[in-house]
Amino acid sequence: MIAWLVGTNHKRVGILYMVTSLSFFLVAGFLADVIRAQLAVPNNHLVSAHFFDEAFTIHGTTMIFLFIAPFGFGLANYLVPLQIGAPDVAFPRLNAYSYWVYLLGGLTILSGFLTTGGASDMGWYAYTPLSELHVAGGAGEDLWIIGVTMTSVSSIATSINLIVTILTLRAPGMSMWRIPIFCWDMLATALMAILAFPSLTAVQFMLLLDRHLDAKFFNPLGGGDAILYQHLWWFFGHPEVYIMILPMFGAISEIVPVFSRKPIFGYGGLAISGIAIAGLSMTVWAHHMFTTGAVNDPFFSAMSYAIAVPTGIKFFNWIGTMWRGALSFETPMLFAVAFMLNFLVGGITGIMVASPPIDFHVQGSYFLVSHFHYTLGGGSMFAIFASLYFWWPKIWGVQLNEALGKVHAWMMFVGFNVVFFPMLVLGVAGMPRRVYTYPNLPHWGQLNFIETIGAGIITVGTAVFAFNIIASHVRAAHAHRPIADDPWGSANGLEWATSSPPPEFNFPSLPPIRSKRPAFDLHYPEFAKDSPR
Amino acid sequence: MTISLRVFSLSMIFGLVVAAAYWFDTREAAGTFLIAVMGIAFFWISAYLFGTRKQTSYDGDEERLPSQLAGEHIGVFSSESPWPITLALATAALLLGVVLHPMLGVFALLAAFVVLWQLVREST
Repeated sequence: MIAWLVGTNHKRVGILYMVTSLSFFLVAGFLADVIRAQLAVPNNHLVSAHFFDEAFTIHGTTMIFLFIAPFGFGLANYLVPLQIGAPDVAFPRLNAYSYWVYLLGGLTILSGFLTTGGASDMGWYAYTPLSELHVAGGAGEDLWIIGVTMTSVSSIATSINLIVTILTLRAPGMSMWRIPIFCWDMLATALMAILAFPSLTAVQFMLLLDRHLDAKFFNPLGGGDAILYQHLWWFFGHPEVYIMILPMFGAISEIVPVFSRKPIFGYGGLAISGIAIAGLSMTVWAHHMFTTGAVNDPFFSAMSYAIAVPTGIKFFNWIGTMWRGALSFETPMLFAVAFMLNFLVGGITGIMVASPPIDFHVQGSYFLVSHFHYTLGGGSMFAIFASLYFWWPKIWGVQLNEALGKVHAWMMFVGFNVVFFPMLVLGVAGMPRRVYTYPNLPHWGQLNFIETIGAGIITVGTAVFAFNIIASHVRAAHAHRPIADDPWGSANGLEWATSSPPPEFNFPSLPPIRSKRPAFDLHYPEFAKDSPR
Repeated sequence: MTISLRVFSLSMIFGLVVAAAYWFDTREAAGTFLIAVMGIAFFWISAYLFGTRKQTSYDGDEERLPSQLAGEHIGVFSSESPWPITLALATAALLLGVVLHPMLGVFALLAAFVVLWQLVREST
């Protein structure tokens, strides 16, 4: 126990990050089930309106700040040094600090439920004036602001660590054009994070000063500007979407070639498209503010459309990798393909809402809720499960059960689409997001009830995953069989050239790095000459 | 290093060009400042890479085996330290002090300085 508290090794910190983020995922999932139960039928009063507001606020906050983004950082903590042939990250103590600040920040946010006024109910972006003291005066809101600020500090610290590690700790032979795409995408993610999170930290401090020292940054009566809050928030908030999805793009780029038995197609395009997404994502924040009438719609619309180009490059390269490959559909690949299908819906609806006329129509509706769940839930969350199944043997030395994994994958895919596809229809029909209950309008009750059934399927699917972990580890403990360095048989990255799990400083000795897939070269020297240099 | 230098230099140019375009199109100060900061941040990284590329470049090096470089001192990687979690607790107390009680914040700030001093001592 003490070893975990004071440990600074990147693998230990990475595991702490991932386990903690998955625990927060369970909290967020429970709150999502509360939301869906309340909305299952019209005119329902299963929970109070106040608790409903707390539930959707903390659900969104937990999924974004405590689950998806930190999981990406956790995975990167574990994998990046292994993939570039380094013994650890550049600053191990800073790495441990960033994890503990993240954990304490998360607990601070959730501790709001223990206060008399309950947890924050301001919505996950806490717009002013709804987050000012005279409207949201509870301790839960203050705890939310402080907790979010702490997660921001954590993200900045871990991002600095990752950038320095990737730029300066690569093993000899591991040139920038040979690092795995996951590392390229983590580099882009970390760059976005150090640009975006200071804006979040600043705006939360300003809000705190408004609330407690009457600073009036966002109060027009004192010369402030409520729209300024939205600018500063979304300057963080939109890159945050990519901070959540880019690590998962990287993970998918590692998984697809292994189960296609081919080198990745279009390495250069995949690498540069990640950087392009990072750059463009810093210039599109105000597409979240079209309906304020206070921003330049054509500029932000054009920049938003432009992001579709590098994202499309990634999609085409994944398809190009699968094209004429010897495909097999083990659980990681199933989740990866499901990720692509779901993210495609999220991407296409994203292009739709980048158009101001459509955005004006669907703003604040369930169409938007469906869109961002298809990108972050159907996208990031599915890629997280793909990553877990793919790297689980490397991290724990235990292979998860394939049959249970496939049941999990199918339940998640079916359940997810049963929840979120009807939301597109409801959104176009005008159902507003964040409503506590709704009248019995034609089809609204039926579609909401179907969505609630879908939420139940996802919950059962998650339980199957938990059971799989327990069952697989119990079986492995009885079998006493060590797992191979590369249990998938055709993996590429350097992390598959060391034991499962790896030793403390990763590699007893490094293999020669002469191509983009050093582990494959090591295990199949007869084919090494064909590996892309 | 050349590749990363190229990537960051191009990103710097992108940030500065978009900031200029945004300013001429909108005359909106907050957004222009934020985009320009992106360009300046990339300039900072590019300048660092430009300045250090001779010392740290392994790009395209296909001749040397990792074992040939064995023994090179690349730093000490600590496996354990009690100070990161202590500093994290001090950070939490400092921020909570803003809303709970100013004295909590003051004590946390002092504690943070002590912990930082210990961290510096430990890592040198």
